Amino acid sequence: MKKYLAILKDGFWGGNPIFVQTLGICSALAVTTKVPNALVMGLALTAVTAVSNVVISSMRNAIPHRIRLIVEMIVIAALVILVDQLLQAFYFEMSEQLSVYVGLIITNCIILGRAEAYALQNGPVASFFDGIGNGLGYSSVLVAVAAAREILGSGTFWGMRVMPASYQPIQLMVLAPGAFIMLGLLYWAFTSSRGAQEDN
Amino acid sequence: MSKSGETFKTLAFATVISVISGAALLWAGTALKPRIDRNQKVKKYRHILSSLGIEVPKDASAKDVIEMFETKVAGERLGPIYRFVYKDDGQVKAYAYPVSGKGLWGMIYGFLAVSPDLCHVKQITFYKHQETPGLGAEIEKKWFTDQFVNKSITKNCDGNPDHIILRVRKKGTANKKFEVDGISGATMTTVAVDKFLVSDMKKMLGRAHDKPVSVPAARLAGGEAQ
Repeated sequence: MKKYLAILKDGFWGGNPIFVQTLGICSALAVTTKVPNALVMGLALTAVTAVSNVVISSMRNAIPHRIRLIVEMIVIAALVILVDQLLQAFYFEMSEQLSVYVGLIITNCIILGRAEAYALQNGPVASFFDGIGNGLGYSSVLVAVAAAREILGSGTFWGMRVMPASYQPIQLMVLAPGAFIMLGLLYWAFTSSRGAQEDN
Repeated sequence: MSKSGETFKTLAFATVISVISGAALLWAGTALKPRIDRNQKVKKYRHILSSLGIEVPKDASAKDVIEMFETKVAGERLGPIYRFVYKDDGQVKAYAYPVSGKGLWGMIYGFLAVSPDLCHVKQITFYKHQETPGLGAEIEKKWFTDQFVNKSITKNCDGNPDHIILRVRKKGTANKKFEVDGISGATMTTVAVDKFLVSDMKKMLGRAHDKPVSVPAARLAGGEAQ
């Protein structure tokens, strides 16, 4: 169990997909204007990464090396379509707001990266935790960026007003440049705090 | 393993994985389709209702929306085209005509709601399209659609299909008195919307004096094409 916790923590912190591996930046910028959107996007990606890791890991000894990437893409694509359809059936409004970005989970390098770097070498259970850890690492960054952008850009959190009525929202935070600035600041905070830890 | 043996194994594996994922998606698609179709229908109803000026509460359930639509909206066919009618106390308040055409990436569908004399625009909405998010997809945003509200359709409201003055122009070049600003960075979408709106408004005006045939609104809303 301890081993799995370590895998989980490594995906979340030590090997955080966004801050350490610098993967999945595109969607981290696109869907972070509101916290609920970021959370659903993060959960969708976590689910896809975990399941694709398990599926690919269970087949790792059977997959012919030559077509390994194609097989990984088929598995990931099928899972993403499934998630997209489930959202459309059960969370229609959310899927409307996330629009094309759900489909674009396919192109999120985190999933293929974990399949290649982890699932092909490790067992299904460890791969599952690796997927969850990486997914949560991605989600937490998304939610953090979204929280900062929503509070500063709209004066709300989860759609509820948190800033005083006199607060003048910073329009820039809702636009793309706001996402770059916020992500950059968080990146800086993360790497400097981790650097301090490593120095010890 | 021999070379041909390995090739066979690769082919067999590829076939099996394709069949399995294909079957899984087919099953999921069939199982979820009724729900997705219903969600899409409700979305379309919402658009028709709000374009006609009937307020739909944000938290209205799917059932509420369907009921509102079925009790408040009537359908009429005029030759090849059709429209949705909102009557209050027996008085026609607005008509909503379906509008559609080719966008940059795929078909764009919407509703153009007009005053009973076909003189002014009440509201326009787009409910289905595949335009680029942040660019062409801005057509569904309030800032874009609000520009159409209360604009005249023809010169001096004469109803002549050749006198249509409501156009979508390149951003910054529109005469705001009767034209509408397009979207910067999405010229193709802007031109496409202008083109199909003019053609659909022509059809609408051309059939202004036809005798309408009453058809249940829900049946008209079932189809996408005109």
